[in-house]
Amino acid sequence: MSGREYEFPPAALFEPIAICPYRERSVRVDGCLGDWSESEILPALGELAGGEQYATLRSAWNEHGLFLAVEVEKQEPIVTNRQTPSAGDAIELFIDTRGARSGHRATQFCYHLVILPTGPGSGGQEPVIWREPIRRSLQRSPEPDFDAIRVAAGLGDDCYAMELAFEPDSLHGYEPAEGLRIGFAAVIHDIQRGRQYWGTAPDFPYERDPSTWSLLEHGPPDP
Amino acid sequence: MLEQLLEAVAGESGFDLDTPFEELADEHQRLVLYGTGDRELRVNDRLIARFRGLVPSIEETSRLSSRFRKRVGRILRDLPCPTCNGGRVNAEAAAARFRGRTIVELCSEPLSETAAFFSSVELSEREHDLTGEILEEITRRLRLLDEVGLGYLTLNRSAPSLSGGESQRVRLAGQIGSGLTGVLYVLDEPTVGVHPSDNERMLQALKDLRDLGNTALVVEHDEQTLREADHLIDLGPGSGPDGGEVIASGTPNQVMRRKTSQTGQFLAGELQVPVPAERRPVSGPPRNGDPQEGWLSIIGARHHNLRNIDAHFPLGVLTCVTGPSGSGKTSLVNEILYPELAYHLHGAQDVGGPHRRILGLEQVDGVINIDQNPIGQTPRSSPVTYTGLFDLVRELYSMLPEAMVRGYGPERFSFNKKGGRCEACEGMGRRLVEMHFLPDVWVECEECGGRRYNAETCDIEYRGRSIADVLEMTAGEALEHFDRFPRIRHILQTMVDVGLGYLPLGQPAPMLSGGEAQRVKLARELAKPARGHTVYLLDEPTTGLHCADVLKLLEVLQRLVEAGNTVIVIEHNLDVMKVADWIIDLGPGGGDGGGEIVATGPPEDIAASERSTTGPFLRAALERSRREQPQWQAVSRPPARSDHRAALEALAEDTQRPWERDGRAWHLGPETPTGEPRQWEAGALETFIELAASALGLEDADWADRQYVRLYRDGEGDWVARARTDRQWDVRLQIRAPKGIFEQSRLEQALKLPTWDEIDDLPRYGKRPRVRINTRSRDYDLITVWGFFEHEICSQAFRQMVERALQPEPVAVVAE
Ligand SMILES: Nc1ncnc2c1ncn2[C@@H]1O[C@H](COP(=O)(O)OP(=O)(O)O)[C@@H](O)[C@H]1O
Ligand SMILES: [Mg+2]
Ligand SMILES: [Zn+2]
Ligand SMILES: [Zn+2]
Repeated sequence: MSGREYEFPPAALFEPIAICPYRERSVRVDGCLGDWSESEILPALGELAGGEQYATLRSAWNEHGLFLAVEVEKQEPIVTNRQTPSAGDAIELFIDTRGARSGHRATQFCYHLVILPTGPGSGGQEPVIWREPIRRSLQRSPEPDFDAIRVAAGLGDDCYAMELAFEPDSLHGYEPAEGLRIGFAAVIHDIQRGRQYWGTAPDFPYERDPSTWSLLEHGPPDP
Repeated sequence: MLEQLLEAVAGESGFDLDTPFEELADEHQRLVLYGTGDRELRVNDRLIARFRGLVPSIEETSRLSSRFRKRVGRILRDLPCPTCNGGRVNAEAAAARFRGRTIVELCSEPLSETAAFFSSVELSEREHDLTGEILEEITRRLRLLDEVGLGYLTLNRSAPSLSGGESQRVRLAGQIGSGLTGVLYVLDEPTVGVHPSDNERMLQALKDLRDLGNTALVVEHDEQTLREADHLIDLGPGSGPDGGEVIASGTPNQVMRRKTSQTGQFLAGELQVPVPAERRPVSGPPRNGDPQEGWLSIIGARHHNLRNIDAHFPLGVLTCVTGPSGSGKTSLVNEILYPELAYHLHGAQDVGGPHRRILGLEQVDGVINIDQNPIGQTPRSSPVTYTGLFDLVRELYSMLPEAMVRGYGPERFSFNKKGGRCEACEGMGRRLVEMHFLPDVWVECEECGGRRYNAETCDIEYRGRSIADVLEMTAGEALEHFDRFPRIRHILQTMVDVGLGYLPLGQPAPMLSGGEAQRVKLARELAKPARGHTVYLLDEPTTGLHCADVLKLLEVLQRLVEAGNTVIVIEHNLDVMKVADWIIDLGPGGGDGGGEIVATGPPEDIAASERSTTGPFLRAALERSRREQPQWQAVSRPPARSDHRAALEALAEDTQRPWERDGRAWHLGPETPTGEPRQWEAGALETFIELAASALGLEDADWADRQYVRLYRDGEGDWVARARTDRQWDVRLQIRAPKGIFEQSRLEQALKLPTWDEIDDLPRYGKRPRVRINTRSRDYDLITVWGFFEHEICSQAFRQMVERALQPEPVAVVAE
């Protein structure tokens, strides 16, 4: 279900570049969004893709890495499916650490990551993250350094939150710096409410074509 | 968000979003169309954007995926290039003239005229040396195109705008021109869309090919082609499972003598479409453009080649619009009449091609265009879903004893919903594989082998067939299989009546031919309750039909008319023309040689017309035909809903739903209705019901529902306590308590229920209290407890809460 039907996707009219603000103190990756500020919420690009808008994304960066948070409203209990992530609650991230937006084929800087808010870990409570291969890549990117990627989930009765921190070099070629632009898109899955997109749109071949992702620009440190 | 982005584009460039596009300055129009290029606009302090512009973004997205290409195709229109005015050549080339004519002019007139022009050219000796051979070749090729009946086309028509039959004939002309020998040519219904007068030329072209030393193999229903063939191979005897054999093989005369060959019998004149002895009476057509009762008139039609004509369609009869290819039938009927009726009667968006007025609309209630467009784009759509048959069949399957015992509802048998379908292919039976640079392809799902359903769903059988089997049945087989169900039978019978008895019910929409799609639409319309005063439009409905099926189709069209409707068909098939009540014949030729009404009246009048190209063929057909008065029946009404219910209930007679049979076992059983293991403790539910029943002074609760166990005060009225049992990880217990006696935090403290997060080893999460009071209702406070363990419900505090909440209602004291 792709939500609202459109003749022509408004997302195709623009190449958005969202500002990822600088923050002095690193985010505590604990699944609780208390230490994020209002100004770190990403613009609601999901509206361009149509469908229900039930998730909010936040981002920030500093020398210690890139921080992301996704907050998802839930009506039904969380379910996850490791085999078919789209058959449950899941978040897909698409990151191109060079953010060129020119080629239609993935390079060694492109990643497709899948994150489940709960999973098979101890007691099923730990979130799970893995990387999916990107079809038709020109070059396959090196395996992410999962020790340098921190993930935490906070599970509530009517929402869940995911926090992620990518340390420098956790993804090939990622070196946070002012003005850096990375390719970025996200797809949030919820079987009841359909998919919510950020920075790309349904029917775009975003799973294989990095030119369909938006850009995230690392903003300047506050004066 | 979209507004913000658009505002940024307009604000930055200095125009106003409320200004209509035509009134924008040129530079702003260019910006909307072609974007801001690399320039980045600041939308707000957290967002920058480049605006691509309409043209590049449409081009870009249609390159991205084939799905977009299709979708974008719908909003794009081809317009003549503004620089060359559609002439395709630059100014220098367009200025060059040969005998006073430019290349653009020569390419934009019907090629029969172009051909005449070139053959009339006389060359000087010098000119002959220079251009003689070229000129001969041009003349020869044009003549070939003309000979296959394409003289009305212009040379500059783009290939995609040609109909299938036209492009087939263009290729045919090219082949004859090539002079190859020893080639086997295979043609599929080359006469589609060809007027009988052009047929002869086309046949001549095929014979020319043969005489050059080639073989032509033609799949065809057209009588004239069959008669002139050197050899016939007749397959049959029936269609689908009833076909597949060679019934006759030989010269047309040999085939005619074969009694078992339907084709032979038609050729021999044994089987034929009889001409009605008496046609339906039609009063004389209106004169000089006045409105007249019983007529629908288009006045001053000027679309394409139509020459400012007045066309009058009689209402309540079967009308046939005839004429050579390119004479203007489609322009008149599909491009003026249909859009105008749809616009006025149904508020559709498009308006018809140029014409002055349309009269008589008030006598018509609706219009239905039964065209040959696909009934859907994905395999989710198929005849069984499109005709509404599947809803009935799913209902039937859900009423089967085994389905009832398992608690399967109609949705379980849907391949569009989770539950009963195969999840690997999401009920499609196939999976879409995107191919680089090639159109996407569908492959069969390996999980279900194309059956679309999971194994449990296929366990449920009616007369030995599962729902997946039903999708593979032909309409004819299904008619027998479901003969006890009047409404199902009714729809299937109409499918058989329109000649679709051989069609598998679940055949995916993209795999239906245009003619099949058209007949599926016709069947759907026929199966609906008769409406009367509706205009049905059909463009060449006999395409792909064998003579025997044409007979059936005509029967169906007549039934629509008998029910008080108007049927207008565009046809080249003489069997249809000769049984029509009225004919409007366009012509006399195609393109600029057409666009007039040459003759109009009952078929006999057309047959007698001197000018009509159709006339002589119709005359011959009428002379060959038997006359008899058919007994047409009006379309049958769909059987009453109640009859259908009765048939279904007979099926389910003694079967009770599992919750009706043994509610306790249903609600306390080891699995939820969706088949997952029930995790909460049965004792929790039992204890709750016992507590509530005893507080209310009842023996037991009402267990006979699929989802809920309910308790009523004094056993009637609205429920006062209930439990929802169909979820895997909690049983939701609810009580309607008198207002104001409970308070959230006090109740939390009293019950001491840990939150989900505080219970280890449960994959159910949440920080919120598991007891909540909702005070929004005026009449009661709703207490909800998410139960799991029995011991929690057995606590002293819980018992007290139930007793207080359900205490006998205080007697209202009415003040004097
Ligand atoms: N899209 C079009 N653009 C220009 N001319 C057209 C177009 N479609 C049809 N015509 C021309 O209009 C005339 C009538 O065509 P049409 O109504 O399709 O005839 P028919 O249905 O009788 O075969 C023909 O000369 C045809 O070539
Ligand atoms: Mg036509
Ligand atoms: Zn041009
Ligand atoms: Zn399948």
